[in-house]
Amino acid sequence: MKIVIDGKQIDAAPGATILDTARENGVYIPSLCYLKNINHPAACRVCLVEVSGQNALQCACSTKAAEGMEVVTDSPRIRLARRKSLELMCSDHKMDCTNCPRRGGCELRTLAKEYEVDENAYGIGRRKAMTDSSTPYLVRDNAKCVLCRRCVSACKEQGIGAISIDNRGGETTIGFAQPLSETDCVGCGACVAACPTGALSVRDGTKSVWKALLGRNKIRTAALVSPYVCQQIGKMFGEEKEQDNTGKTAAMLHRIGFDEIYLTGENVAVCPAWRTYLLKHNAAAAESLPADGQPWTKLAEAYRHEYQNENVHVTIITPCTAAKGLGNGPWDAAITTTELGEMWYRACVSSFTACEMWRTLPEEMFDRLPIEETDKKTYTDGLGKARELFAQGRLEGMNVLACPGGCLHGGGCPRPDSLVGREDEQK
Amino acid sequence: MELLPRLYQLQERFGYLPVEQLKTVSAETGLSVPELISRASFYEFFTLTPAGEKSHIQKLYPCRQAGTLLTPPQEYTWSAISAARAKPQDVIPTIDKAGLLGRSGGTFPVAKKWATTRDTQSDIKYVVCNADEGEPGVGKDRILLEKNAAGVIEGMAVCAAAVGATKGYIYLRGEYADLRADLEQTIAKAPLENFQIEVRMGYGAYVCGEETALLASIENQRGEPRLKPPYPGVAGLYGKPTVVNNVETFACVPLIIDRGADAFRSLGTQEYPGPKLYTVCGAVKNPGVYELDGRATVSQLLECAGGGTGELQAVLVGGGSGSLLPMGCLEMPMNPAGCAQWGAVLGSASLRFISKQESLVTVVRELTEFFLHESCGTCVPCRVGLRRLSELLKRAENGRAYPEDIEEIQHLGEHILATARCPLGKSAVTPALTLVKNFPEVLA
Repeated sequence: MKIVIDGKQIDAAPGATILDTARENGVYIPSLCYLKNINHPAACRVCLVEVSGQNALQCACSTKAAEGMEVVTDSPRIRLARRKSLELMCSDHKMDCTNCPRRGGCELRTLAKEYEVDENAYGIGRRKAMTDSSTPYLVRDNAKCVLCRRCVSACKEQGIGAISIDNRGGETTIGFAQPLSETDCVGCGACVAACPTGALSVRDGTKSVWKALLGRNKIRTAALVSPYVCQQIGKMFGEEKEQDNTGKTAAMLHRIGFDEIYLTGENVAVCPAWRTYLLKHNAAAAESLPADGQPWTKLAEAYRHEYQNENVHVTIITPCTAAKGLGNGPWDAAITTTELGEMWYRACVSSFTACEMWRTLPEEMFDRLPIEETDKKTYTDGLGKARELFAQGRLEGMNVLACPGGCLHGGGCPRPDSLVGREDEQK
Repeated sequence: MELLPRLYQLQERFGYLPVEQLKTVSAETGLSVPELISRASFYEFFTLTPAGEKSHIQKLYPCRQAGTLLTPPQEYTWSAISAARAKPQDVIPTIDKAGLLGRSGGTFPVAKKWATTRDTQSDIKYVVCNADEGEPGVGKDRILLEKNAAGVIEGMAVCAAAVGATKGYIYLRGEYADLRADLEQTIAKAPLENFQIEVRMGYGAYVCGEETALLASIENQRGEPRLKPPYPGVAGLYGKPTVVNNVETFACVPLIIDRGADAFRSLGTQEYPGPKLYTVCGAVKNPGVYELDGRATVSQLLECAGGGTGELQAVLVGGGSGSLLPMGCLEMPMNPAGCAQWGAVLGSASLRFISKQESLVTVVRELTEFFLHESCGTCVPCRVGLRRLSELLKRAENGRAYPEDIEEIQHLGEHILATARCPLGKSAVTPALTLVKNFPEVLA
C-alpha cells in the first residue's frame, strides 16, 4: 500500500497507523501519550496531521494509513494546533523544571520548547497537588501528571494493574485509587520508565550516599555497580544509544568520591520484583526461591570483611527500582542508574556541565574482590507474560526477571529502549 | 452477575464501596482493586466513602401534547413484529422508503445503519436502545418510555428480525431507574421469541449517551468513547455488529411497519418525515414534551408552551450542547435543514428559552462546567480546554475579562471543536462559540 507523507511516496503495511508508518520511514511526528504497541489512547492531541479528504486535523496515532492517502506533517495550522494542545497541558502541569527529577528527559518540556509554548498562557488554575510516596520504590506527583496513561498501560502490560484511571472529566486522576503500597505493585519501575514527565520518579536514595561521601566523619565508601549501569548511564549525558562505558563510569565514580568501586555480576539470581510478586500471589513458590539472590550481597559481605575495622558505607547501584525495597542487607543504600546520573549532575553543578565533563572523562578501572558467581537461564519477556507461563508450570528452574528485556532495561534506567517513543524509532 | 450491576448492589447495600468488598470481587473476577475503583469511580452513583442516601430519580418534564407516537393503541397487538418476521427482507427497504432519520442528534439514515449490520457476517449481532437521555433540557425519551414502551420494544424486535440479531439491550439512564420495573414487565409480555432484551442501567455518566461509550459501559468498562472507525454497525458491543438507536427512533419503527411508509411520510417534511417529539423548557409558561412533526417552527413550539415568561432574549436549540440563537430565529423550522440555515443542529430537538433576566454568559459558563464535569477525561482539549474555557467565561461573567479574553474564548473553542477526541467534546463548545458569534455585545 502506498501513501504520501510530506510529498514522499512511502510503503505502508496494511493496518498500520500514519504515525508508525512515518516513524519507520524516518519522518518525525511529535507525540506524547503514544507508546508503540502499549498505549494509544489518542489523548494528548499532539500528533495532529493533515490528511487528504479530511477537513479536521487527524491524530496520526489513531488514523490508519489508506491507499493513496496524502499526509502533511508540518504546516502553520498543524503547529498552532499542536502548540495549543501543549499549552493546555502545560496549564495543568506544575512547571518545576529546574528542580524536577526528570530534568532534560522530560518529553513535555522538550515539546514545549520545540513549539515555543507560552507555559503561562492560561495563568490560572493548576491541578490539585497529591503525592504518593507510600512505597520504597517510587514517588508519584499528581501536579506534574498530564494523564497520558502511559504508566497505566505499562503496569497492565506487566500484568499487575496497580495504577488506575480514576474519576471522570476535570477531576480525572491517575493512580490514586489506593496508596501504591496497598496494591499489587512489585516495584519493577515500568511506570517510571514510561512516564514522559516528572510525575513518576524513583524514590531518591542519594541523600545518605552524599552524607557518607561528604560528611565530617571519615567513612570508607564503596559503590557496587551493575555492569548494566555502565551500559545505560551514557544516555544521561547526551549519548543516543546504550554502549559500554565501564571505564568512564569508573572514572566518574572516583570523581564523585567513592573510595572503592566494584562491578557486580550481571543478572540477579532472584529478581526482587518477581519475589514480591510470588509473595503476594503464591507464597509456596516464593519460599522455594533462594533466600538471597542478589549479585551484590556476597560482594558487599566480602567488602565489609575486608575493611571490618573501619566505618564503611556500601552503595548498590543498579538499574533495579525493586532493589530499593529489599530492606536490610549488608549494604547501606540502593540507588538506580538515573540517580547516579543525577549525582554526577550535582557533582558537576549542572546537567550541561555534567555532559561536557562526561565527554572528557578518562577510562579507569574497577577494583576487584574474589567472589564466585552463579548464572541461571533467565526469562526476560516481562512480568505480564511470565505470570501466565508460570501458572502453566512452564518456568521451572528459570530465573524470571520482571522487567521486559531483563535488568539491562530495568525501571531505573534512563528511558529504556523498549518504551522509547521517539529517537530510537526514528533511526 | 455483570460487574457494574454487582458493584452497584454493593453500593446500595453499604452506601459506598468498601475496599474489603472490592477485594472479594477482585479475587473472583481477576481484576485488580485499582482497576475496579477505576471503573466504578467513572460513574456518579458510586462512592468510595460513605455517602448519605440520595435519590437520583429525575422527572423534569410532563407530557403536554401527544400524537401517534405517544398514544399507542389500548390493546397492543404487536402486529409489526409478526409482519417483520414474515418478511424480514422487506423491513429495511420500507424504513428506507419512509426516510426515517435517527432521532438522537446525528440524524443518520436508519435504513443505512441497519443495512450495514445486516450485511456484516457474525455469529452474534446486537440491537441496543440508547435510553441514556442525559442532555440538559431534554426529557422526550422518558415520556416515550412512560407512554409507549411497547412501541420501543417492538421497534427493537423489528430491527433484530431485519439484521439478524438475537440479543438486545436497553441502556436506561440511571436517573430513570423508576421506569425499569414497568419496562421489564412490558418486555416479558412482548412476543419476542428468539430475541432477548435485557435492561442495563446507567450509573450517572452523561457521556454514556455517546454510542461507543454506552457500549463500553454495557461491557462494564469506564464509559469512555471509542475511536471510530470501526463503527458499531460493523464492530460494536464485544466487537460484534451492533445497531445502536435512540428510544424515539425505535418507537417510530412500528408506525412505519404497521401503517406503511407513505402514512409516515404524511407527517413532517420531505427530508425529515414522521412525527417528532420536542422538549420546550426554560422561560416558558408550560415547559414539557410536545409531539408535533418536522414542520414545527420555533414560534409554534413557543406558542404551544404558552409563550415566554417575561421578555425573551435567546433560545438554546438542540440540548445543552446546542446553539444559542437570537430571537430572530422564531420562524426556523425544527428539522435538520431548517436548523442548518442558522448554523445550528437539531440535536435532541429541545428548545430552552432564555429571558432577559438571565445572563447569557452565566448560562454558557454553567453549561461549559457541566460538560467539563461530564467529560470522559481522556483527551486534553476536552478535559483541560473546557476548564480553561469556563475560567475565561467566569471572568467575563464577573465583568473582569481582558480585551483579549473574548478572542481567546473563540480560539480555544475552535481548538476544542477541531481536536477533541469524540463528538461530545466537539459539541461541548457550541454554546460558547455561538455566544461569541450571535451575542458579541454581551461579552464586550
